[in-house]
This record gives sequence, C-alpha cells and structure tokens, in this order.
Amino acid sequence: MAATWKERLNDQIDEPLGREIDVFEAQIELRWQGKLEERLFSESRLRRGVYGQRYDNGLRHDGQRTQRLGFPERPTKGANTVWDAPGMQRIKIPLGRLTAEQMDVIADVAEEYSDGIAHVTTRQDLQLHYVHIDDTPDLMRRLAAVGVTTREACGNVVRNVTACPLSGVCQDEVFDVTPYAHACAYFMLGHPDAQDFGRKFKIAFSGCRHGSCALARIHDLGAIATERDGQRGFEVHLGGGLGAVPQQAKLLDEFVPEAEMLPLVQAIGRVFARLGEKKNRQRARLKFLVSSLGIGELARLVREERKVLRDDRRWTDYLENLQALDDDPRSAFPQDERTWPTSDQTDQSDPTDRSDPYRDRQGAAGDPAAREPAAEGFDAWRASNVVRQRQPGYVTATVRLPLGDIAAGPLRALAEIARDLTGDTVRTTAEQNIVLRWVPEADLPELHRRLSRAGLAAPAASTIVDVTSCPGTQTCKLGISSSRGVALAIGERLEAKPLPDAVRPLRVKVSGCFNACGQHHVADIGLLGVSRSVEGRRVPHFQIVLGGDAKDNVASFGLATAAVPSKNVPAAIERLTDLFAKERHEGESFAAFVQRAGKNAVRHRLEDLLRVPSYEQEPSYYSDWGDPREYTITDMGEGECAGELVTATKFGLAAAEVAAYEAQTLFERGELGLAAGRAHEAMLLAAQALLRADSSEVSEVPEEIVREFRTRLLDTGVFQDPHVGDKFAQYLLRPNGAGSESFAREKAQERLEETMLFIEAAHACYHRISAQKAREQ
Amino acid sequence: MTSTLENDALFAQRLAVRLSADPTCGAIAVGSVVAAFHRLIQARGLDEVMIDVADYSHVPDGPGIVLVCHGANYSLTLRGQRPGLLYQRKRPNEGDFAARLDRAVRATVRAARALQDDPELRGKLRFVETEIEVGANDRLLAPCTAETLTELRPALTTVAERLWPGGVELDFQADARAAFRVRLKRGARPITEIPCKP
Ligand code: HEM
Ligand code: SF4
Repeated sequence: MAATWKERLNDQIDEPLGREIDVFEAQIELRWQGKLEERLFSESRLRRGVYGQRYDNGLRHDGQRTQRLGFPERPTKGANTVWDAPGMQRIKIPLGRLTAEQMDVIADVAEEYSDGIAHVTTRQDLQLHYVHIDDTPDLMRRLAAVGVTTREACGNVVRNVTACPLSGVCQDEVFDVTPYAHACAYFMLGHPDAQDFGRKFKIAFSGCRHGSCALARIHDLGAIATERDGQRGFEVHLGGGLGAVPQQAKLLDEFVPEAEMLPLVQAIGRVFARLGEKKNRQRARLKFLVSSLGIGELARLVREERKVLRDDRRWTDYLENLQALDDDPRSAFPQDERTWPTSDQTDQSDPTDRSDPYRDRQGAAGDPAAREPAAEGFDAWRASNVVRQRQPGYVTATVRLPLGDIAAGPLRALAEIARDLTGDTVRTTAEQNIVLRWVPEADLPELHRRLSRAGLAAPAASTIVDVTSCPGTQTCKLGISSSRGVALAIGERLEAKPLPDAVRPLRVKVSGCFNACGQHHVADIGLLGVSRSVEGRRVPHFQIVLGGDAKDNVASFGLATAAVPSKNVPAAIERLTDLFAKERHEGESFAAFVQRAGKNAVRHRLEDLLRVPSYEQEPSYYSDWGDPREYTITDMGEGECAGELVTATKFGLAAAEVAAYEAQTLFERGELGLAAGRAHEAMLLAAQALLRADSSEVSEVPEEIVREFRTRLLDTGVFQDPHVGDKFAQYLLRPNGAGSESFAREKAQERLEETMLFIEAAHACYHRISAQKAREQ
Repeated sequence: MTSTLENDALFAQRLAVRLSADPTCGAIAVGSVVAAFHRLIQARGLDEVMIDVADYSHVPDGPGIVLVCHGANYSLTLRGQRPGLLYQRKRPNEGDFAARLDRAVRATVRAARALQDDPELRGKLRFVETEIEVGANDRLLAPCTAETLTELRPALTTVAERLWPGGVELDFQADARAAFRVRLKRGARPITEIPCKP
C-alpha cells in the first residue's frame, strides 16, 4: 500500500476540518454504492466547494454535432451530472488573504489535480477547473494542512466573507476591518444557525463609505467601518445582491458597536433561516425578504432575535487582540536581521500624496540588488500598479492577472517574492488581481525585476484594459456568450493605442449571462452575454450595460443600452470611450456622461455595430471569441411558411425592445410610473410576438394576451427554459401596479431589469420554437 | 497503517511526458492550435474521451492551449521559455510503472503526430526528436528527489531503451518544490518515428 495524504498530513490538519473531509470522502463512497441520495450528495459537495462545470451532463456540441462524451458508466454526482466529468473546485479565501505557504500549496494542487491554473474570482476566492471529484478529498487535505478550507464555498450558506484588499494599509479607511471580517468569516463558518438557508448569503466589509473596493452594498450584508464618539462600529446594510435583478442593500443600522457585530450577523442568519423563502430558489435571497417585510420590520425581528441569543465568547474574544492578523513586517520580524524601514529612515513626504510613490533612494533593506537600475517598463508599472500605504515608507503593488488567471510556476514565484519582500501575505481582489502589501518603497525596483522575471509585471492594473470577467462559456454551465474571450479581445484592442487620460481609469466587467457573476452592473461599462437569432442561426451578443457606479460601495447599477454582436463589442467599446474622451465635460464621470448624453444618443452612435452580416458574408460573427466552433445549436432549414411567421415574431420582438428602450428613457427623465407602464407594455409586445409564432390571430387586449400567454406558452411548457425554467414569465403575470404616480425609483428600475430579462427569455423561447419547426419540416 | 516509502514512486499514477517543440513554432497563431484541437475532437482523433479546449495562452508561463480529456490533459505551449507538448495523466491506468509510462509516451507521440498532420499546422509544428521529458505530478509518492530517481531508474531505462535502443542519457535535478521530472536524451532516432501501436 502506498502512502496517502491522509496519513501524511494527519497531524497537520485541525481535527474538525480533517473529520469533515473524511466524512465527505465517505459520502463519495456511499454515493458510489448507491446509498446516498443524489440531491443530498449534490448539496453536500457544493458545501465543500465542489461545483459542476460545463458539459458535465456528458453532452457537448463539437461545432458540427452534439457528441455524447464517452465517460464510464457511473452513478451521478447530481441531477444530470456525470460522475467523471471534470468539475470546478472553489477554494474559500476569507478577505482574499493568502500566506506564501498557502500559495505554494495551491500551486501544487493546481498542477497535480487541475489544469495548472489558479483563478481569482470576483469575490476574492480561488478556483481550480477541470478537477475530478475523486481527487477532491486529497486536494482538500493538502489545503487544510495550511489552514485553507473549501467548506461553504458554494451552496446555500454564508459564502466567502470579502473585504477591501487594502484594509490595514489604506489611506482612506476609518479603521482596519481585517480582524472583524476574519472573525465574522470563521464565526459563521459551519455555524449551526447558518445551515438552513434557502439560498446563499454574502457578506462584505468595507473600511470606508465612499470607496469602490469592497462593494458592500451589493451584498446580503454589507458592513462599513465607522466611528461614533471614538468608538468603533459598523454601518450595516442588508439585502443587496446582483443576479438577474440587482438590488442595492438597505440601511439596517447606522451604528452597530464592534462588540455587537457578530451577534447581529448571527441573529440575521437565524431570521433568514426561519423566514427566508425555501421552495422558490428564484426568490430566496435575503433581498426578497427585505422587499416583502420591509427593512423596518426586518430590523425589528433581528433586534428581537438578538435579545434571545445565548452569549458566546467568540463574539468578543477576538477584540482583545486586534493585531493578531497584522501583516506589518515591522511587528512580524522585530529581530529580523533585515532592517525594515522605519518612518524616520524613509520617505518623509506627505503620506496622502499618491502621485509618485517611488523616489530614487537606495534600498533601505540594504540589499545590493535593490541598487541595480530599474528594469524596463518600471516607470509605467509603478505609475499604474503601485499605491502608497497609510504607513510612510511602504507601498502596495498590484499584480495584474489576465482574466484572474495565474499559472502554478508564477504563483510559486509570487509566494517567494511575498516572503522576501513583504510581510508574507497577499490579498486577492474583486478585480481578479493580487496585491502585495507592505513593500518597502526602496525595494520597488527589486520587486519589479522579480515580478518581471515571473511574467507578473503587467502594467495598467485597475484600468480599462484590466477587464474583469466571469468564467462564462469556458467552464460555466450557464454561460451564454464567451465573457473571457471578449474580455481579452477588449483589452487587446484598447491596449493597441495610447488611451486618453479620462478613459484609462474606467472599468469594464463582463458576465456570460444574466446571473451577473462578473458584476457587470457595477462597472462603467458592463457586458452581459445574450444570444440572438439571425436567419435561423444563433449569434453570440453582449448587452452593453451603462451607468453603473461602484463608488460609495455601489452608488448605482447600469442599465442595458444595446445588444451588440460579440464580434463587434471591442469596436463598440472603443467607440464609446472615444465619444467619452471627446465629449465629456470637465470632471464628468462616465455614468454622468451617459446620463447627460442620453441612452438614445449613445445607442444611435452604435447603430452600425448592432447589425449582423449574413452568414455567407461574414461567418465569423456566428462563432464566439476564442472558440472556432459554430455558435449554433440546430441546423435550421428555411421553409417559406416558417419564414413568414418568423418575420412576424421577430418584428414583434424588435417592437418590444423599442418599447423597453423607451421605458428606460422615461426612467431617466424621472417619469417612473410611466416608465414602469411602458416596460409592462414591452413585455406584452414580446408575449404577443411569441404568440404570433403559431397563430396570426392574436389579441391586442392586455388581459387576453396574458391569458393566451399562460395557456398556450406557459402551461404547455413552451416558454419553459431548460436552464431557467419559467422564472421570467412571472414578471408578466403578476399585477404590475404601474402608471401610478408614487412608483419608487428602485421599484421602477427593477421593473426595467425584469422587462429586459423577459424579452431575452422571449428571444430564447422563439429560438426554440423555430428550431422545433425546422426539425418538424 | 504506515507504508514503506521505498517503492512508493512506482505507485505514482499522474505521469507526465513532455516533447519540446522547435522554437520556430512561436510563429504559429494561437487560433490555429485552438482550431486544431477542436478538429481533433470532432474527428475523435485521439484514443481519449476528449472534452474541451481551454486556451490559456494569455497566462505567462502557463499551460498554453489545453486539450482537456478524461484520462489526461494535452497542452501545447508555443511561446515562452519552454515551447512543447505536455501530456499529463489524470486518471489511474493499469499495469506496472514501466507499462504505464510507456503508454503515456506513446499517447504523447500520437498526439504530436496528430497535431503535425493538422491541415493548419502541417509543416509548421516541429518537435525536438532527440529528447523527451518524463515524470510524475505526485509530490506524495514521487517527490522530485534522488530517491525517487533511484526507484524509477529501472522502469525509466526500460522505456528509454525502447525509444532509443543502445543507450540513453539521463538528466535530472532534485527540487524540493517541483514535480518529479527527468530528461531522457538520445541522438539517433526521431521520437515521432517510434511505433505507436501498443
Ligand atoms: C443560478 C446560478 C447562479 C447565480 C444566480 C449566480 C449568481 C452570482 C452572483 C450574483 C455572483 C456575485 C457577484 C457578487 O455578489 O459579488 C456570483 C459570483 C460568482 N459566480 Fe455565480 N451564479 C450562478 C452560477 C454560477 C456558476 C454555474 C458558476 C461557474 C461555475 C458561477 C461562477 C461564479 C463565480 C466565479 C463568482 C465569483 C464568486 C465567488 O468567489 O464567490 N456562478 N454568482
Ligand atoms: S454570469 Fe452566468 S456565465 Fe458567468 S459565471 Fe455566472 S452563471 Fe456562469
């Protein structure tokens, strides 16, 4: 018998963690023997971060036909999920905080069990792709031995607790949220009060109110550092979330004293577990509870719940040593032979000056290598990737990772660099990068040289070319268009020429579908993957979402402006940014510019890019970025009769889009009730269009359209999407209450979002209908 | 149960084989390789359950373009310091170490040929035919140490002799962090000419 990781690491893994992994391994075994129910097994593995991946139903369209992947016959690991199909392993990284030792191990497991890539997610986690489920217990053990867990990385639980990557070193923070966020993460991990949620629960901590690093208000619970009478506490917001219909969190309490923070989170967890929706997944996030109860009533329930909680020492124990997690090398290596810079040895400049963090001083660490001349590209890198810390003499440098990906070799090199030049830890960021904190300023040339050698010195971090993207069609089962492909294409196009100053700091974020994992709503320019039918073929598109603003922990969400064929997206973005550079008013933000110019005008400028050339003219439009397979699911014939009906439906769908668009214009003018009314009409037009697909006799009366829609499309399952179900149909069916004067802004915006989704669903439904017709002919 | 460390390397399953590519392949467009891998899937051109193509050519020092299969991954790197085709076994295989390694080498060579035969890559993709790197991605059973090399030497020799009868050179460097790798070299016979049928 060969050695096993289990015995090798036996005494390096904390007892409860080790047991959990053993239990999971046993569950795998039981599932194999058919003794564990599919659904139960599926949720168990999700709670350990073991996620499905594209093609795991064992089918894949290879560009010519759908092939059944010849996996061995085995039990399933979930509904329609083949055991042997590779999956994704999400690794929970609270606060994005990683030590050098942890990076080494992650590099090892990425190399041994995955494809050699560690991927940073938009919530500061790491993911490995193409992992076989049989390898996951050992993978988890190796991580556990260095204090990393995958527990509750997925599933209906408290997900990764995130925080500003600069917490503790940021110039703007009220105080360092690190110990609070960390305590919260580990207090809630596996907490019995957090095991019975209807849906996931996301928490973020922000060190300041105005920043855009932590995105607190798109979380189920967002905590923002604040002080009152010299006391530390948090402004707490509840019920935010992205997804199909984004929602800004509501203010629950302006000041929760630090000692009350953990009991509050616990109380919220209990209320959510008790009252949150359980049956209907689509309405199970906390945001729906906030909507249905109102924040006032929810606050009252939470206060009541807090009163009956039994005291727990963990609520406050950590407050006694708030410095426990400091990565300040000055405290970590008091007797180090290296002389860390002290404020009197180093830069005495104003710490709030962020303009030029590096001065031509000699290496304070006394390392002769630091005196070598700076490597090529140093200045540009320094200007874009380095910020001064609150602590004089120290800077934080961003390692820009393309699409959040880092290979095992460079990850090990980064671990080595973190050991040698910083306080040993790094943080991942929501922009899918990694920051090295506590770099002595004088070591910057040395740092840059070593990063260059490892291929990690790409400049332009956190600029428009540093595009954020969800996994999209590459690995996600739900992806509609290639978010990663388009993200790279955008970066390449924009990097090809010098960018105006106003354009550089803009952010682009891409999601492969409406689930919004790429956080497209909060970008200056967001992209949302959709598909369109053109002459019977599918064409990948992206909705361009404009007007989002991540400042103030998310001030506003963007709205869809136009659906652009994927292949035209880089050109469209270039056009938009050129427009912005030329026509913006002094100091105007992108969101404000779009608002002033009006979406109509902006859309008008993109008009020529919205058209899709015929397949014969330009077949490249019919495949996606980075994927030469033809982007289609059926080969459709063109019957004349079908052709005519198609035209009527398509015409109707286009009319629906125009109406939705007008609704947005009304919304922007502040005519909220009218906007919601017009949005509802848009849905009616889309429903009517669909009904036309198999009948020319379609009513014009709203009630009749809705009735017909229900009986002919919904009850028959025609509108049923294989992935989404009939979720979006509900937007049309429920009372709309529009037209009234008192329509709240947020409600109206929600209606606009829903309308867009309904129209998307109608497009998808229409595609299925046409495909079906083609097959029948 | 404690195990004797002595023969553990022979249990290693995640074997790796690497053929170096000629540096001129740096001129090949990434898209051509991605397309070639997709064509292989369409034609079911390898004896594998072929799943998908993952393009990591944007990642410095990364795996390049990966053909993900159930049993193994094949990744082709065009640029960077070490262009080449890397085979990495993922699922366990039958037979003793030498047999498994032999099969891994053959699979790699077959994939190399299939790529060289691709209409878009023909005449452009060349592999260095006088050496091959083999190893294991298993830091538990086969750490990159002299002991592992000692354990595996007989099996490595068997496989190498089959490639180049008449003697091989062996190049190895221990490395506490890296996965076990050893380079086998010989001048005479092109690797892609060795018989593939097991
Ligand atoms: C019904 C299905 C899904 C919904 C509603 C959903 C929704 C979301 C939302 C809203 C976010 C978060 C942004 C934020 O809150 O900051 C997110 C994060 C994310 N999602 Fe999804 N998602 C779904 C499925 C998936 C799938 C299938 C994948 C890919 C396998 C995926 C990958 C990700 C990733 C990588 C993140 C960043 C996450 C993290 O580290 O926690 N999502 N998802
Ligand atoms: S946004 Fe859609 S495509 Fe992207 S990861 Fe989320 S579910 Fe998948």
